[in-house]
Amino acid sequence: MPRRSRLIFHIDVNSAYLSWEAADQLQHGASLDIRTVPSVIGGDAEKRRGIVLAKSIPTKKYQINTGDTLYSARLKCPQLLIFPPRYDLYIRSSAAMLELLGEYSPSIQRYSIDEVFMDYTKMEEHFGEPIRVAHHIKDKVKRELGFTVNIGIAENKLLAKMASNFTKPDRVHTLFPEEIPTKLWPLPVEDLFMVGRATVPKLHRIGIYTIGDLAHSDPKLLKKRLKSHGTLIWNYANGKENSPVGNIPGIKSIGNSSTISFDVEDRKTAHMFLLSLTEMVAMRLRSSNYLAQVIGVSLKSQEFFSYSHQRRLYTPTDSTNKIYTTALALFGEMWQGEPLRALGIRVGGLVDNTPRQLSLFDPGDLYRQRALDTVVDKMRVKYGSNIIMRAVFLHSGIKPLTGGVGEEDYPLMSSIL
Amino acid sequence: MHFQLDKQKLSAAVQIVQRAAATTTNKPILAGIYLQALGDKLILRATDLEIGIEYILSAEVREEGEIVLPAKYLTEMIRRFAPGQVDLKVEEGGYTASITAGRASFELLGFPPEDYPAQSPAGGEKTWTLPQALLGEMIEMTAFAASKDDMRPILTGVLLSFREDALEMVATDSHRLSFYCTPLEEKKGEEVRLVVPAKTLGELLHSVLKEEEGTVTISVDNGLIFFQVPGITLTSRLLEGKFIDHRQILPSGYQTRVRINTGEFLAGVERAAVLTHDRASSIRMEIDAAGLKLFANTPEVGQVEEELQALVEGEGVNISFNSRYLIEALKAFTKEEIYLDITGAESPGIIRPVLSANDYLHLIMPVTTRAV
Repeated sequence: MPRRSRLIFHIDVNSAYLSWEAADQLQHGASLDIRTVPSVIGGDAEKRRGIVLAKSIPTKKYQINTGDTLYSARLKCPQLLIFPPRYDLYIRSSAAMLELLGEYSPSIQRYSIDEVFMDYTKMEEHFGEPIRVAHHIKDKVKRELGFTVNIGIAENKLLAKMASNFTKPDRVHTLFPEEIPTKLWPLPVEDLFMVGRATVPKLHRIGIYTIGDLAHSDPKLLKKRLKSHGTLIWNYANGKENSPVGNIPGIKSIGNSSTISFDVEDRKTAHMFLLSLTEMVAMRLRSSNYLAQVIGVSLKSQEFFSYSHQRRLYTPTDSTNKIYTTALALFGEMWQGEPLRALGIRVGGLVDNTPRQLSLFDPGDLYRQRALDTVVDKMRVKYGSNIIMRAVFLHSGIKPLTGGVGEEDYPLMSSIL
Repeated sequence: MHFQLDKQKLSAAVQIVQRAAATTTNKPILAGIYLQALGDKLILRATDLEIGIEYILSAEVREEGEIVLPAKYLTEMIRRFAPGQVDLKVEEGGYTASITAGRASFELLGFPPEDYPAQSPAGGEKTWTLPQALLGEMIEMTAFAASKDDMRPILTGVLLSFREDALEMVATDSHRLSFYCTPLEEKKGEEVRLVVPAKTLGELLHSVLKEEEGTVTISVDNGLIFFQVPGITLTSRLLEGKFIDHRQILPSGYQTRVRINTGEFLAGVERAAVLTHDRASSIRMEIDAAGLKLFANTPEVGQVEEELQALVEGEGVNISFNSRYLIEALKAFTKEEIYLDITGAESPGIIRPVLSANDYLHLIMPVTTRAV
């Protein structure tokens, strides 16, 4: 094998939400693997957030797409199985995979909840030849964690990401420079990372239909038509990209919001939703090893009017209680009693957890609070979010922990890989 | 308006006054200096409405009157005049000043003086008098610890607490705290707590407190504080809000006491600070009966270790501090020897002069590597 400048792996979980749900069901004794029948992950259709978030491979012949409403998906396939999203499960599954990958390289970048970049450069001497190792990792994830992944191997992050997308599921693909003409260039141009819906017609108009067409086009013309984006995608089509694997630029804030199935009209219920959202945000904040300096609350009224307030704290925190009491104060300042259909909490101004400059104004029970929060987090990661809850949620019908994994926290569709 | 004045004297006065003029403002007149010729005096004033400086000096007044001239141009111009007399004249009813010195003559467009904010008269019932040198030292040793960040505006100020027979000054940015206490000669009644912007005290130190011997009179009226020395009055708005109660924070005892030479300690910390790397620029100290050791390291660059001579009393301890806080504190000390008192690995460290250990202290919160 020729000497490679770098060896980058892109590990992509196949139908992540659905795979994780399936793996969890099987671990809990289910007899049916929902990956083998038409099934989707999506919100409760009776509520106001019912769209398909992830789908099994057998849904393909019913032409069900991610983003369809559950109502239309059910029309296409009446026997469709629908499961609600379980974000705490996704966080646990993603964390487990990250931990497993950490055995193979110190340089790992979590690109989203279900995508990870790993720099394998110079690691051959420890674990062996990259393609064999990729198969080994893929099989180990499947055996130990119960779900499948695709692994793309290339000399940079862009090509690794393109490679992991080739054929699914449970496959290892390479995309080295000498393979670009045969593996990358024949693909339709819309398959290239960063070529979005708006760009495709512009490219078609100048006769560019495949990634190869783009690679052989005149970069000056592209720049004239598409500005700097033209240069970027021309480089990508030629396999040129060289960003390092690492959490740069990293997350800037952590947010969590929820649309509620009824209108919230009283303070007590609103407070409970805020607490439920805070529990998830604070847990994610602690797992990120950051402290937050800015707390924000956003509200959406029944009339879809959105507004938000934020406050900078004097001492950065990751305490559930501190974030919650700050959120309550912000909520009190902004809410005029109008019916609410959505609430959200966001923490930002993230700073490293250690080393930490102590403050004269640190609360006296700082470490006891932290110990309590940490124990609750550990229990929830190990046994699920409902293993322990605040008593206020008992018989309330409100979940003690609400929220998504915050894909918006990752620089997802950015050109910065 | 028409007066004559020695260039050196005028230039010195203008350079002090212009420091209070606004630099960025949507009221251009505030970027000016107000000049008034009255009797045999020239009065100069500038203010950005937060802070104001008034300077009165003798002048040969030919015709009384007033004008506001742009501070920047006036200062730059006068500074560059040749030594000798400066002649400044404004025609009756006009706003243009003709300024002549030697053969150079300038015309400077001014602003209508009636639009300039009036000076609040110094006064009030409460006044205190202190030696200028003492007040200067108190400012130098406390104000640097005030917060530079507007998040808690009150902490950008320095507390002046006039007690019955003592003046205490306190500044803190929540990570460190400076405290200076000095006896007052005149006995006063109940405690008066004033929070003065650290910036004001910086100006006071920089431009007003020049004389080793003289005194400064402090008075308060209607939310304003006045510092007066002969010829110069500095006025500033007081900060509103409740300052922390420093008496609740200052620890009384210690676990470990290190007695060390100030200069050697500062030099050691400055050397170690070269290799601090984290956000808290932390330096680790190992203190035991043998003395005090400093450690710092930057991964992939190198590390430093230094043993300093010190007398240690009490338990051994490992503790880390932000090197910048240590350096700023040690630079403020004029005394040769200090005590470094440690009250626990996650409790404040206190630096005091060995002589007069109760008059001044500087408290620094440590840096911890324990996740919060």
